[in-house]
Amino acid sequence: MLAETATAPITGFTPLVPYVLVALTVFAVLMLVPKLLGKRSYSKDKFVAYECGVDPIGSARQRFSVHFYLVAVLFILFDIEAVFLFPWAISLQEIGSAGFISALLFVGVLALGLAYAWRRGVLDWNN
Amino acid sequence: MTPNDLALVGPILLPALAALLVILVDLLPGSQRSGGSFLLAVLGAAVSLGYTIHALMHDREGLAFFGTMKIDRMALLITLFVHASALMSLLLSKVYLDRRSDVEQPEYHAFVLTSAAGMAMLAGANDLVNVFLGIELLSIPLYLLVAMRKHQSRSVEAGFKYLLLGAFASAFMLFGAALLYGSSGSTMLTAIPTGIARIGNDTPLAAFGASMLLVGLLFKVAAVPFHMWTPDVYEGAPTPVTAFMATATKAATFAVLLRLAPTLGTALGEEQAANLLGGLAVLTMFVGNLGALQQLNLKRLLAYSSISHAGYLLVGLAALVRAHGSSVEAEAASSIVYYLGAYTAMSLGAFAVAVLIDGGKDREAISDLAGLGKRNPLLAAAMTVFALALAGVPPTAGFFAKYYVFLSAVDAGLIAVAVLGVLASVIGLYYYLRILLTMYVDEPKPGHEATVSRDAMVAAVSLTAVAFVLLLGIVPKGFVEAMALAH
Repeated sequence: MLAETATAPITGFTPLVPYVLVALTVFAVLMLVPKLLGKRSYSKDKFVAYECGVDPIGSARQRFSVHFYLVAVLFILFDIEAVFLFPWAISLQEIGSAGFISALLFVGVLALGLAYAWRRGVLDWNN
Repeated sequence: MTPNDLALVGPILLPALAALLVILVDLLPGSQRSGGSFLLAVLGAAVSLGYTIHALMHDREGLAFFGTMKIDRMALLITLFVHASALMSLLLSKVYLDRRSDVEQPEYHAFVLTSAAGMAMLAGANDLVNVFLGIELLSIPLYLLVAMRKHQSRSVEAGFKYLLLGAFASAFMLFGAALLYGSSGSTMLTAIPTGIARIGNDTPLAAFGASMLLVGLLFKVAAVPFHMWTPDVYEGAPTPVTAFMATATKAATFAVLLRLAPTLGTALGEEQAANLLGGLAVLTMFVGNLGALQQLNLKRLLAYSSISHAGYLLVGLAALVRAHGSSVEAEAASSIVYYLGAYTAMSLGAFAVAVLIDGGKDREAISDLAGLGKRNPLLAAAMTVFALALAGVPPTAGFFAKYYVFLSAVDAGLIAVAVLGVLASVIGLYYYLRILLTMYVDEPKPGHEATVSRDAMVAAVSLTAVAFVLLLGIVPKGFVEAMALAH
């Protein structure tokens, strides 16, 4: 049992303190110096939304179909599945048949979810 | 992973399996209108309940999955309450959902089962990772269940509120778990106190971690000051879901709090932890009972009542932490479990009545109960039993449960907390008696009488609840022995 025998509490973080201080100082100096020394000019164009140098077209505040969201959520699910399957594929020799069956169950449950979403018309773009 | 491991966690696997089956059957062509998912879900919940009872009767206890799951008597008892609540809530949902066309029934049934699996997991969790997994597995389906009536703004608003605040609470829990691991070197709940003690009791890191974990858990049980969401969410959710949430979530989360008690005692110091929990208990009891005084909606009233009951339960937890190492410890733990059982029965019963008087039109005003004593004496009698039990009047389960919790507080030396608890219950008496007054004395306003649905399943749930509320109150001895925990 790994968790029972581990002993190291959180210690030895003191060297990080100067690191954080230096980072904050650099950040503050970089923000302050241009403010004090630099010249500023304002023009109307500076307040226009940046669209890669092209004149902006239309409003940025449009409504998007909720389908984008559904597809994104489905994508994330299978993305995470892939993350789990890579270490599984590499360590298949060590984890044996128990590991193989567990992963199959995992994929099976996800496949069932996909089938359900499909059946309910989540993937149908015209719906 | 051995077959024995799988047998031990059967009460977790079975509802999860049933949820998958519900989804699978719904995929078959022509199954949409048949109501098969309801039967399957009820069967799944009943089998899970039966399995848990079987495990309890044959003492199927032990450690599973390298000690990260601890299926002991406490876990099995809490799982029993959870599965009973899931089954009852499913039975309540039939008449409620059939009158409303805006709910996807198979999804509803699958979510109730998934959530029950998460709660059962939480009851047996002996590792911070499993605690978090259980909390999420119970919460995510609940967020969806609360917002199940997706064309009703009240329901969607409630779901959104619960999701945002619940995610916040989860973040607190995760941060707390990380700090506890950092300060003890272990994620096992049973190993954390010794880990902290090895480093020294005055580590602020452990105290901070334990407090943050406590914040997340207190949110789930709706304890003050993390109770703000409760009335809105309980009101907006479909009534059977509210019944399930109020009873089963409390039971499952208190299982973790019971297991965490030694950690809280070590990390915060036993005296301070007991004082903190006792103080929160007093606040919760008073805020819940005072808030309930002004409610006109039955579900909101029951929500505030649920807050106050979280307070009574916290009294037991404070006693448990304070009495660490003495014989009172087991008494306090048993009193909490007994209270959870009693609360599950009486609260489910009250919500069953709320389902019956709703008439498919979301009628939830307390004034709708007027004249119920004449029109439907049986239902009014059942509601009387539940209101008296929630108020803590003998000879009901509520009285004995409160007595037992307060007794363990006195034995642990928390006399002030117990006295304030009794005072708070006296305030509570007022609004529970008002329900009785409305039912038996008030004349109904024309057009405002509740139309009582006739439904055999809901009637069966009410009858079962009445039976348990009275049995637990009149002959508590056998139940106390059954729920006694050796510590």
